[in-house]
Amino acid sequence: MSERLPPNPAERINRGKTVEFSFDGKTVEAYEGDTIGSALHASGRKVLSRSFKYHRPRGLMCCAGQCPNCLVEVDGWPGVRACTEPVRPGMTVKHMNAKPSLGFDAMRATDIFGTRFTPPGFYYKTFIRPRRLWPLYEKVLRGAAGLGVLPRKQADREWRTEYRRRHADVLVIGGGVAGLSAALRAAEMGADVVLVDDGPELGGTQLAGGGADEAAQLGARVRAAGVEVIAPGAALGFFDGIVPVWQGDTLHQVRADRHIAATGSIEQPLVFEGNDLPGVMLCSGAERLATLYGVRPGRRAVVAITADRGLESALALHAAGIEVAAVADTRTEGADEEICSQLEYEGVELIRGATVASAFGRKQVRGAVIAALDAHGRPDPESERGIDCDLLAVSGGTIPATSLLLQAGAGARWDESQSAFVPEAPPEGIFTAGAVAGHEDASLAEASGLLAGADAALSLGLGADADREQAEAARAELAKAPSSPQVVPAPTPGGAPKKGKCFACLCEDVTTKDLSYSVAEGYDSIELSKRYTTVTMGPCQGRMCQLPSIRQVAADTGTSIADVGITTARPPWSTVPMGALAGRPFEPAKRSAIHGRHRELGGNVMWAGDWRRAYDYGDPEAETMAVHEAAGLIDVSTLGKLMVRGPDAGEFLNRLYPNRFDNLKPGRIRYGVLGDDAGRITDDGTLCRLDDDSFYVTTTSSGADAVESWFGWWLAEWDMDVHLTDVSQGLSAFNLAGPKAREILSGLTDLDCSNEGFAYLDGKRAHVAGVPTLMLRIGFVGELGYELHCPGSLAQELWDALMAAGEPHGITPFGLEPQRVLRLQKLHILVGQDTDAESNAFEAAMPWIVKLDKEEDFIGRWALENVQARGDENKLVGFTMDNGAVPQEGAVVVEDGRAAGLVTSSRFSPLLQRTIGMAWVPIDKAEDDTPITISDEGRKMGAKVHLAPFYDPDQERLRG
Amino acid sequence: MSFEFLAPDAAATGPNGSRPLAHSQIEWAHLDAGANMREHHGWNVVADYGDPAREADACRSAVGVADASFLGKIELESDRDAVARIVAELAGGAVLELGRAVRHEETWWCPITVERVLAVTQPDRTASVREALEEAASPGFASVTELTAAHGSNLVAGPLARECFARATALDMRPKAFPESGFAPVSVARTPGMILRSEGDRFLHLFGAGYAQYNWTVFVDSAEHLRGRAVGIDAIAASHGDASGVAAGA
Repeated sequence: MSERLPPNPAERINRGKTVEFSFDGKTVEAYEGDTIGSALHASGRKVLSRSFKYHRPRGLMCCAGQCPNCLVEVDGWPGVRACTEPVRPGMTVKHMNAKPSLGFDAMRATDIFGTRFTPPGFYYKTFIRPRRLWPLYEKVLRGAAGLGVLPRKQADREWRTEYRRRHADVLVIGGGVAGLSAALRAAEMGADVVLVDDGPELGGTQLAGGGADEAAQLGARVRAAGVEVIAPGAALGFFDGIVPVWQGDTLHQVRADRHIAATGSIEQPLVFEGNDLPGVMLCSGAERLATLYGVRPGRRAVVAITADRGLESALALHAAGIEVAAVADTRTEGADEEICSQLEYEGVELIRGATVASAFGRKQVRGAVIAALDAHGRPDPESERGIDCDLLAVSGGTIPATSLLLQAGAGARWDESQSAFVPEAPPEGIFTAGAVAGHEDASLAEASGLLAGADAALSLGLGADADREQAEAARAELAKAPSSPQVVPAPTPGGAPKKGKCFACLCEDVTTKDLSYSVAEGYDSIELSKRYTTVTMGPCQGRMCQLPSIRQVAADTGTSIADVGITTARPPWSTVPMGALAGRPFEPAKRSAIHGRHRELGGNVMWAGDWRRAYDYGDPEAETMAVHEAAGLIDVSTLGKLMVRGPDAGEFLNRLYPNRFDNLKPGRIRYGVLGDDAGRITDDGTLCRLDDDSFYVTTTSSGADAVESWFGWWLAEWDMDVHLTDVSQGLSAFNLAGPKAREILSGLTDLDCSNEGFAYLDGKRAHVAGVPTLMLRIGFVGELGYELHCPGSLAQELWDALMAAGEPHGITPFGLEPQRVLRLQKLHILVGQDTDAESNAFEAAMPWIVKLDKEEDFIGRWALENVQARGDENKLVGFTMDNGAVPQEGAVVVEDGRAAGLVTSSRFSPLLQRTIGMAWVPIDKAEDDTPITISDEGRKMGAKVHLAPFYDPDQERLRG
Repeated sequence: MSFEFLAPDAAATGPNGSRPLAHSQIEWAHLDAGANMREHHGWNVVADYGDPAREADACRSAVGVADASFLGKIELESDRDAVARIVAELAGGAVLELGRAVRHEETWWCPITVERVLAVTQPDRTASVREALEEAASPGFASVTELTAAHGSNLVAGPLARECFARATALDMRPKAFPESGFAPVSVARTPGMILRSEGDRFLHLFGAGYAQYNWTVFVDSAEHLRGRAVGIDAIAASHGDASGVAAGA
């Protein structure tokens, strides 16, 4: 550990406990409390990654998880920031984005030779022609793009994540002094407070500034006051009052009545040639490395700054034992003279009115070129001088971390004296505290936090008059606090350094020259330039690069920074794995009350709408034949079932359906086809009149919710004396069908099941095997059949009784697939399969459904009258195939080489031993035995129209 | 009752000489998990999953999830005044307000809307509550619908019950926002549901019976992650000192 400094009271490492991990296969020794970055730097490894596009070596810069320079792979997880990730015993850490090694990356050739081929938008320019080579270009570019690789095996990528919803009175974002003070104050005034902080420890900038103990004490008081602390946790965005916070395997969705943004400030880099070399660090980063982790960021430093905070960093580095050769301060006046005197007393050369013009070195900083600022605020080449160093600590001042505030609806105003966009006009219920509000000094930050906490609590009606008075007094004091101005060097129009590269965006490898090119090409607003160059789109999300890019665009367009403005703040503010956003992989699915029985019987269960249903039990052909020859039993519990009750129930249904229901006798059933205002078929089912005022309506399985909504909407519109109750999920339903059905049923009920006692389209209520049941004698599958509806809680008993009673008769459970064959034999439509949004009852071969002679109006009447008047243009017909092939559902009916219709259903019938189907054809083809041609994926096949049901056309078996 | 085909308690002795038992729609899932079943007022219910002591402890220290589908549920729908009159008559003069249920003699009266109330009661009282409603509702235009089988229900009980719900719903269930007797129709696990806070840390979650297995999976998964578990009704009773030995949402 050659780069370790002597112990200091503020360090967070435990030198008594070592931790070993591996980096690129080599063992690294660290101390407990180290981060991966601090441990690697301590071991002399300064290059941690390679940049995105040019594969330039990169090292620690911010040490705060804000820049992209230290992204590594940890235990197979890509994209981990080494500077904030704590070391753990046995960790396997690897570099990303470099082959064959971190030390020698072949793709660095793009930096050395390929710059001219990869300007902004190069993928629209360079790799376009010849077009036939695009597959090759694509492969190469895909291989070169991206920063990390996911594990190949699904099992290695899976992890358990979940959502957690948390309501709160006050959400405080930021766990520095301001945030802690705000949370404490609000909690003490009676608010339910949640505090979120993304750092490894609460305390923010106080940790490196010698205030770790005070921060810990404040943190303890906060917890003792009942504040829920989510740390480390990253607030990802602001979504209309919901702030998602990612913490490990949990995504907390925090909904708070009040929000306090104590998000702090972000130190800015300076932009100069060679500003991405390892060894170029932010002042705060170097200070953190030295103070918190006891690691020497370098041996000889040059410090380039724009404000007093940078002077403090220079002093701290010197105190830590790092030689500070010179401090270049852009200001000629206004600096804190006490600190300046101290620096000079310590032998540090203070160069005022100057800044860094460039850094030089190959894989590491070897020196900095300092130059005086000219009248335009730019480095004057005539005044350049080089200073040897292996650490160039820079600070372009700080900017408030406003992204979450802006997402919440606050505005941003350019403050020239602060050289930053500052938040203004936060929406009601949102408060600011600390550095983000312009109160960077520790004591001001605390006061600012206490005020924000009090304001938030008071706005909720908490607290007393004394609290209000205290808050006003604090507000007055804060208003008097002076601010410290910053002077930031101006960029060069055209963005051109003498040689080498000058990065505005480290994440995306966007240089100042790239930004200037984009402006020259016409992308002359910050929004356009951003989209064209991808600046601010990388892992830092603009923390490091938004302001430098705005400055460059302003310089290149001759516009003020205020007028250039900022780009729209969007979530996520911090990187988050997709798995954390996905949550638990449970998909809502409805299951029948006898789902267990389907499993036991070997049912092939698949999706049917939002239900899980048995498609068959292993032999759909045998199941189909069993219905014809003996008896079959199918679970049709998925049908929609509505109770429609009230004195106006009959009239209500009359208005909704094109046929009549007010004249349906109690105990009788009628088939209904529901249509919309345009006369198009939307659903179908049966309606059974239970008594004078009550109807039992069934719908298709997938249409139940829509039908209930439709009914409910019209009920509200017409305000009739009708009650609507959805009992779909409360009742199970089984269809017992086949020549043995009556015999089986008769053995289980006292009801007279003879054809006279229980006629076709009768609805009866009786007990079957002791289970209270509504029995509907209807037929969907073409054989004698009974649809038995019973409470879902008793369904298992009924099913078991039917199967037991049916066993001697050869009963067979059958699934959806055989049902589809059986109903097709009868030419029964499936709404949504045989019909679409254009189909009406006339053209769907159901003219008998439409009672235009009804006195009252009904939904779709006008449209249906028009259809009848103009005559059918198309028709839904049955067909048989000439050659026995089974065309796909969706195959086209062609005429004279053009599409003329569509196959909606087709199956091979084991009973009829031929292929049958339904199709839409032009009206002139809708005659029996008319030949039609079906084109299925280019293959043409002959078929013949068949208008009557294929099986039992006279319904003798159905009604017998 | 004219619509017996809706009511599990309307089962009668069958040709085999026995009366069919009512079952939870996901009894198969409970049996898969090793449940021991017993009869409870005409229902086959989960007594435990093989470790009643641990299940009771889960309810005391973390969270237990129990299938309570056997609870009777009857819906009354009518105009606002009629609903208020009927509820007052049957619930000891209670006046319902949206967001709060009222308990009277082991029946919870839960206002879904001002015109729709759901009565949730013990299985041995379902028929009598239904009959009382039908009698009180006539004459006049009111619908009484037996929905015992239409709604599945889970009891979620324990100090981490709210945390369990937090994995599935955005309802603010903090005690000050959702006091005892709180009742809310709300989306739970992306499906329509209702939540009743019967007392302390005990909640009843009602949902469409077709979603029973899905909701069970979601809640047990959350509970297990919080060191809770699926429990039988005996554990709920034991942990909450229910003298009758019957776990009740009521």
